[in-house]
Amino acid sequence: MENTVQSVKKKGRFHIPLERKRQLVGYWFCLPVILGFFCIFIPGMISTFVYSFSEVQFNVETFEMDAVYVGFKNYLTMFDSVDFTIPLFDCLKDMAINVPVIVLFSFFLAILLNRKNFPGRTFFRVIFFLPVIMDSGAAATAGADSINQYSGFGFDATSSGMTSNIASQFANVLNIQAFLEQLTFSTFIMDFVLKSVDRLSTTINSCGIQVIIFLGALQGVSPSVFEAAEVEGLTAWELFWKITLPLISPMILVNLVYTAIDSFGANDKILEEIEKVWYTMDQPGTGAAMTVFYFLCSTVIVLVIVGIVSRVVFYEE
Amino acid sequence: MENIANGAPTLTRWERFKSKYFTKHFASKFLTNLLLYLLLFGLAYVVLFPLIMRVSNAVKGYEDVYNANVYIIPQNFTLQYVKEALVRVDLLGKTGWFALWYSALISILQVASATLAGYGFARFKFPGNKLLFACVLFVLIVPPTTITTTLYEFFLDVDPWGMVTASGERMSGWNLCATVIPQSLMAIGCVGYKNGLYIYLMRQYFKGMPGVLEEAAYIDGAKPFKAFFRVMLPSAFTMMVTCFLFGFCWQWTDDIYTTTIAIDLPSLMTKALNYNNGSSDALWNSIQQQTGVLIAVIPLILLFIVCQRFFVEGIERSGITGT
Repeated sequence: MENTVQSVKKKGRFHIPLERKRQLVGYWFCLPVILGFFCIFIPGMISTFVYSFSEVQFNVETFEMDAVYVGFKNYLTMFDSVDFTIPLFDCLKDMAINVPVIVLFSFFLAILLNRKNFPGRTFFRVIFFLPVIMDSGAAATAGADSINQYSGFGFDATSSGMTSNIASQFANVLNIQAFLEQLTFSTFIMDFVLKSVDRLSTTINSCGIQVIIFLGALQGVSPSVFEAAEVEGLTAWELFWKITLPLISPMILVNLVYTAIDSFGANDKILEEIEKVWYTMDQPGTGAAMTVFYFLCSTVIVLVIVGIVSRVVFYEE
Repeated sequence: MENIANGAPTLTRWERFKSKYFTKHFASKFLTNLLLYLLLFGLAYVVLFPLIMRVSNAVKGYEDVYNANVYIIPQNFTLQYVKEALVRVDLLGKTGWFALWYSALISILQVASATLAGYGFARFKFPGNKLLFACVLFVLIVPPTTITTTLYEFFLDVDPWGMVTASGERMSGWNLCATVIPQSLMAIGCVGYKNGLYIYLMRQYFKGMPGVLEEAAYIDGAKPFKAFFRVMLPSAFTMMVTCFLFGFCWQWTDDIYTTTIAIDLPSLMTKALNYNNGSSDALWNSIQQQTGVLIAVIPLILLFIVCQRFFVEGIERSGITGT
């Protein structure tokens, strides 16, 4: 390619080298994205921002929405609304537990499924992937509580729904909590462990894509690396911490971000509340303030995750 | 053990059996595998539990719901509610047909622009490449409601330069929310539900392809578009099918756009959830809603069984890396 560039020695003022010309074709390929981002996404965002700072009313004469600037009033109303702040807070709290647990668990599952000569690998892979299809959108929310109530294992439905509570029932039977208390475990760690056990079914149901991403990455690691490590005399334990984990670490970042977006971006209680305020209660301003705040939260979370984790991630190069 | 080492032919059957199975190696292997399969089957049960429960609830009679003795196998087996749900959801009628072609249309558009953009991002280092890709990821991060609600208000009354209302025949502009246009535009512009993910997958896929292929095409005199369509596209088919299937399934069960910009379009999910027999029995209503949803996602389950190869292996082979 470089030879062709050098052989063309024409020098005009507006001359663009062939290589450059070819690169500029990239704009044509990305045209849909450019148009979508600047003509749909940005205007949508801007009008949401404008709404969030104004009192919005439908003008009967012009058939348009009139927005009058009111400053931070909508945001104050939003923080007063318990129906919004409590689900948001719960969602953040859930996320703090869910995201690390889901990523750890999918890593664990991927390692289990990555064993060689393991019959039934495809079967389990498919089963764990099923929720990605089945439990998306409306299918996930539809009467999830009734399954809880029906499971006969108790009524303690978590906000994420679909908890069969088999795990917590099991824990109660064995009285693990009392046992760990006697061992003078830290309450914080114990709480974390018990809560994550409680979420077992939520966790499994939301780790479909992550497991596959990890599996793909595990298979992408060249076998010669492992062979070399074995020749050097590494034990399986050392192999995991010194070879597998660093090589997989970029995927951990990808999965953390994906899980955070997935579990935060579609919280039904928050979305319902936003819709209710926006349409039923007819306060588009407050609704817009809610969405803006919601979006800021999710962006901050993702930035924090990327900021922290990318320092630890190891890139092979 | 020594007998085997000497290759003595005097081994009895029992001794051979013993030397094969009564070893430390076999015991540890057997135990690990047993534990592994126990664990995996247990986890698989947890995943399948909601599905099993939904199927069981669908065929339960009203009396069974409050009968504490009935758990999964119903006492009063009935298909009455399944039939009712089928009528309500209208899976075999107009709604189902609409859902089929609408989901297909949206996901084809999504895949088409995601493939183009993914190739553009992967192969051309034009100024702003990284920035634009960051924008794509940004769209992925922003919850869809942030823009859908204002877009809904925009599409309710589309009046470009006052052309529609100029003649005075109409008071307001076109209401595009009853058409497929808003979501199609979003799909083409890659700002639909999780479209950033498809772009990401396609970009990773094209990055993993050897660049020699196109160079050969360039040397043979092909323009970039021709090189893309003739050389790269055929090999990206599997990946495109994967993205298409994701788009299809997520569009089928969508409840973000069907409650905003696509609210006037018929939707299986809305109909499934719209159960009202006048009673205030929350549990029963909820079970009926679920039966509706179960009926509505049957095509997806079938699709998944047939195409699971594309779903799972597509992602696995995309060679996603963190870079």
